[in-house]
Amino acid sequence: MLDLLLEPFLLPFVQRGLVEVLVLSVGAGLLGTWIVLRGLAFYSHAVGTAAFPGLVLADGLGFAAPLGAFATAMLFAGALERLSRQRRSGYDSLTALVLVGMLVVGIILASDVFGSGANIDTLLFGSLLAIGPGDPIFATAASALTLIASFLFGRTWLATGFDAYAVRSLGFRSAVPDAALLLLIALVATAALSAVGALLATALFIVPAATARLWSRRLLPWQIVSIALVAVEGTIGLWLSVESNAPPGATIAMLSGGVFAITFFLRRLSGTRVWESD
Amino acid sequence: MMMSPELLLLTGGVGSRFWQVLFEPWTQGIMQHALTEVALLGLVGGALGCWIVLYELSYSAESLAHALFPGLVIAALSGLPLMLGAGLGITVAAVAIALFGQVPGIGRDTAVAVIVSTLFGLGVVLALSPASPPGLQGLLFGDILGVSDLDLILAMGLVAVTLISLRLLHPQLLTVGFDRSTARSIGGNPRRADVALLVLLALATLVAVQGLGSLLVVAVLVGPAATARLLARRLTPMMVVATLLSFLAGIGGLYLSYYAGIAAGASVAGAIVALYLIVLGGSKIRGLDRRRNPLRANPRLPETVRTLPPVDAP
Repeated sequence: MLDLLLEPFLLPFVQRGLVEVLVLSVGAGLLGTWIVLRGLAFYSHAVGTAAFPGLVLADGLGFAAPLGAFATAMLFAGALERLSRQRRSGYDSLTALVLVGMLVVGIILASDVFGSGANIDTLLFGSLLAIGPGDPIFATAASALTLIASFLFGRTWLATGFDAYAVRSLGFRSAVPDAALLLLIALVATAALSAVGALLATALFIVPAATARLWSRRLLPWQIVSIALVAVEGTIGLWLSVESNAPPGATIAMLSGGVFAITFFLRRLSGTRVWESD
Repeated sequence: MMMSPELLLLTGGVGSRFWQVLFEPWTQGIMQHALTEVALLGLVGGALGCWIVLYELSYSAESLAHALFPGLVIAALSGLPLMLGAGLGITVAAVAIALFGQVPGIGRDTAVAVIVSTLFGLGVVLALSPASPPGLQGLLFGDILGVSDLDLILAMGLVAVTLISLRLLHPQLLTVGFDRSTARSIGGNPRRADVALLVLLALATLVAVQGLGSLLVVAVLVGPAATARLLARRLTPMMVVATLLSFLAGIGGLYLSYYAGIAAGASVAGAIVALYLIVLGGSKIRGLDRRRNPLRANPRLPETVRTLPPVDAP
């Protein structure tokens, strides 16, 4: 019985996918808690999706796709930071506008300059079952940086998450840590591209962290549960996708969403007043 | 012999050639359809877009289109009309976002991420199952130049429903939008306002995404309203300005698409972003000082008040 269950993991390409998702789980789970705490869900979705023109350029000019994706993600983050500093429009409107701008450039590059096709689709959707040799190394680096940055800046990130204005009066400097957080999200989102693709990166980042948030009130347990949840959901999702022949990213997204829904209704049944808003 | 439009402009007697370049695109049925669709969506973008911007619903506007996927696939598999399935799917998503967004510690943007990625994942898995008819993905990514008569009728219905609902909801939306935390004490209901706005947004996405594609939907719903916010301080003028800006970007974008041969959706979306940047740049040059300290701008105040050092806003 157990042999049958574990059989897919004997295949080398499934093993590579498993290593990738386990390595990524540390960065994605940890960063997910910061994203939920700081309300950066739209930014993290957009910074991954904004990689589109970078992928087109990498495909057209023939350099490494993660490089192009990361470069455009940085460009996106920089443009957003520059525009939001003027405080003239809401952060979310600006995120949408910059994202639209990047996608327009991507579409024009893809259809009128390079005439690129199916390659881009694969990259936008990603696949854990087609992991290249460089991907786990990139994911390891991204996860390690996330761990280090969480140790260094965690207290400031947490304090800013509660009260951005009081932080300065408490003597924390929040400009550098904030920039580090946005940079880190761009990095991990790029690392997740090849695994689950741009449209479903949020499934790996945000859904497990949101699920874990329903159980935990303190930061450290929340982070540990979140990392564990990414790893478990990633592993089971990968197994399911091999068995059912469905794309792994979509399977993981569906599975994580189901776990969130079940957790939510369990919490509600157990009498926790989750609806009570502040 | 065909001449490029630039050449026509430069060489010919400017008069008739100019008018020819100006009117030539609109002699074609396909461009007339596109223009009507862009104008109709502009009306929605002007009115609904302002609320989207003020309620900070851009993430929902960007992502809801992906959430109609599973409804679409289920309708296709069970032989129901596609629009019905997609409509049910996207409405469920909108209501779920409004409700989950109220959970403390989760927040609305996180709720959007959870619900949209789950439904999109479900849709992809269902669409790739062997029983699904092929070509479903095409339904998600519309083409502005392929707008049909049915699409136009649907879009007109959408405009009517949206404008009437917004007119009826106006006091409620204003009360909640002004101050969410105290709205309840003066008869506002934040949850009801959120659900109403998100359902209207879902409806707009559903109708518009077929003709225009998801990129243009978010561009039209967020861009002109954000631009209008730079120019207007009161809500009604902001809505009028946003509508005019959508028309301007729509017409400009279609010209660009016709003469430069760029995909129509991309060029209209590009025109919308360009318009925002131009207005932002222009308003910075014109009124930087006045914005930073509104007291300075009021000539009726005594000189001593007007020359006070600027106060840093919190």
